[in-house]
Amino acid sequence: MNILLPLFIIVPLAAAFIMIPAARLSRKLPEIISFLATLYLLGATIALYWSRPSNLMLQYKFGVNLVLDGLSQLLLLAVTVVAFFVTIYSFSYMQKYTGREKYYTLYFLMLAGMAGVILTGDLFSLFVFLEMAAISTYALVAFGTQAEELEASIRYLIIGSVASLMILFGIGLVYALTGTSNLAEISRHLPANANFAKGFITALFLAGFGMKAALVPFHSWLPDAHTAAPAPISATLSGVLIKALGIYAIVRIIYNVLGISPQISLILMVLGIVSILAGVLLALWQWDFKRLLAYHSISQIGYVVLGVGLATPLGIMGGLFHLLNHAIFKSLLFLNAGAIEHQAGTRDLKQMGGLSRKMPVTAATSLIASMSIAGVPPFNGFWSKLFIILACIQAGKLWFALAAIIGSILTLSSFLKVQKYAFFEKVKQGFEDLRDAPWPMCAAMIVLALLCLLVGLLLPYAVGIVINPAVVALMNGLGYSRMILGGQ
Amino acid sequence: MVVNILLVIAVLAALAAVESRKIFNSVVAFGIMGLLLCVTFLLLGSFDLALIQLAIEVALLLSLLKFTQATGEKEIQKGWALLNYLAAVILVVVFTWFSFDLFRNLPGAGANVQRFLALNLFNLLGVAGVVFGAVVGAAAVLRPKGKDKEAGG
Amino acid sequence: MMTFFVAALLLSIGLYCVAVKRDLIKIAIGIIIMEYAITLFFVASAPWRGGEDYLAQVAALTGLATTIVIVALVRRLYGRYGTLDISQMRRLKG
Repeated sequence: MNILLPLFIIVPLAAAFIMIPAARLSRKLPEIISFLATLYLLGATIALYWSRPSNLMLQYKFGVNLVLDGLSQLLLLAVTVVAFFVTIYSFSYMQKYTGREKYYTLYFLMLAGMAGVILTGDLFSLFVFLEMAAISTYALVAFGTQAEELEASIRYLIIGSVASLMILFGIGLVYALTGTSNLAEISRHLPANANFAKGFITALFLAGFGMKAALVPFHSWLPDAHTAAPAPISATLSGVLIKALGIYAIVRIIYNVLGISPQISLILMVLGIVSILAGVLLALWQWDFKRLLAYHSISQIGYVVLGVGLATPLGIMGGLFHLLNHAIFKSLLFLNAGAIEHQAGTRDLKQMGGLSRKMPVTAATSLIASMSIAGVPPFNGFWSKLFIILACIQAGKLWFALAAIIGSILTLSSFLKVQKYAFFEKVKQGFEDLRDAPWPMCAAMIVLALLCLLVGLLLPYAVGIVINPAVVALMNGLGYSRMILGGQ
Repeated sequence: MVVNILLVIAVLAALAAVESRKIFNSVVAFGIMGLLLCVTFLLLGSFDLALIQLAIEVALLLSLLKFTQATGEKEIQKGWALLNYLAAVILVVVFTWFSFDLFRNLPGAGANVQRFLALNLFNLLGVAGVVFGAVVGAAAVLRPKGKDKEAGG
Repeated sequence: MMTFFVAALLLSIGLYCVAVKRDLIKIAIGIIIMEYAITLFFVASAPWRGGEDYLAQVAALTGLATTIVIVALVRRLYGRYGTLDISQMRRLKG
């Protein structure tokens, strides 16, 4: 079983390295490799859950230091599920682009980077993998090489590299203070009187990872990048990348390494609330389907941060559950937007209309995803938002609960607008002989929509098997170090 | 002592690189700064890849200048709101001040070496991936045509 | 100690350049100055880590990778827009 863990990083890296030579042999080979590799990753993740949920594994050979606990397992599940379906979707969607082997190469480097960030137990390796994912993402956003894609990419790159350098500076400071970069050892070696240093490092990490996660003061790159990127990339970016590189990293470091304090908890909650409200208010004005979804990403990430920032078991459970749900329904929504763009050639909601008759699969799946994101029972988004709001009330933060409810209502109204303009009403001129998307795209959308429904209906199992181990991992706090190193 | 003098000149060169009107002078000043820093790295007893990094980066910047014919004359001072400058300056002052304060409180050299880290196999793989990704990414961005049906350009 | 101060100062200069300038080549130079500042920090703090300094090499290589992507992007952007002024690239609204 131990061999499984490094393979999560090695398999996508190997796939990336052989992709370009393989394309010389056969045009079809990159797609076959991508399918097999992502299928393997998904299978291996499920096998991990199957064998023994939330077990902890360590490797110390060759300085390789990988840790798997409930939280990493949850993120790994989100990444591999989204990656598998997005890859299937890409087979059709990417047909119109040139240089597809480069696309798959970069895609797998991004996956390897995310898996590395999630699994590594070493702060410096975390940076290296983060940089690997980030650099391939800059290129992927610009993959169409049109003016607006390049523009979005350069904005993302400028903010992203400043963020990376802040994170690296923070890591260097941690290293200088403690003499180690092992996540588990840092908390033991932090000098007791280093409160100022700890605060400064926390601020650096909050700003750096906050930029990666697009929390509200640092969100400006996200709407551009999500709008301009090819749809499968938007889905991966919004579905898992900002979570793996931003939320996961900051949560892991704050909870398990530096230790959470009431002040940091409050900062997280305020960031969350501001993101929820600002994101959804900006989304209300958008008519570009993908840009609207992008602003909703900011808003939904706010829910995750709010829940996790509460630092109560219920809050963390709601936040992490929402993270998983958001990965599913938001990537589905971006795939819907991509399907419409692929078939009808527009992202403008005003130009669409009556698509439910012409593209039934896209319409049905997007209806399910919209209800999930808006928090309509019994879909998955309803439960996680309910947990977060209940947790706010339980913790006595009534204003935060109220703001979360308002955000949820505004989300609902925004998606009613999407449904009305895009899918209902009369069919617009020029769309009379529109067809639904090719079958790989439809298959990916249908399965993701079923997942939305299933996670909502099988709530006790989802929470019991997937979410609770992650909550235990976070509530363990600085006990992380004891769990890994033993003793004391 | 020599290191300190080099570092002071490097800071001046960096300022020149940032504030120079002509973009070519900017690149030259940046090259001087990089060279001085590389010598500093040597003197501090750690020769590393920075010299190669500098050589490649200066070459890339110069190729970019040649390609874009940029001279920097229609520079870029106009129009930025005072507020923006102010925010940037405040950020920079606070940031530098905090860092200074922090550095003063760092433990002495070798105070807490916990464990000699062997060269981490995964870091090596990761860096290979990063550089490979950058090269493939650059190649992907520079494709003459992004989509099959596009007019080109 | 001087080395640390200079590292922080260079980091701030780079940050200032990225925040205030509009010429893409200037912004690229700002980012690269920040990369060098970080490398300097890692070189200077190598004694803290028992003299082991491959971290500085890793920092240098990731910095180089970023530069490669920036240069490629700027080159392509110039081809599309005919300018290096980032404030004139407003194809995307909002």
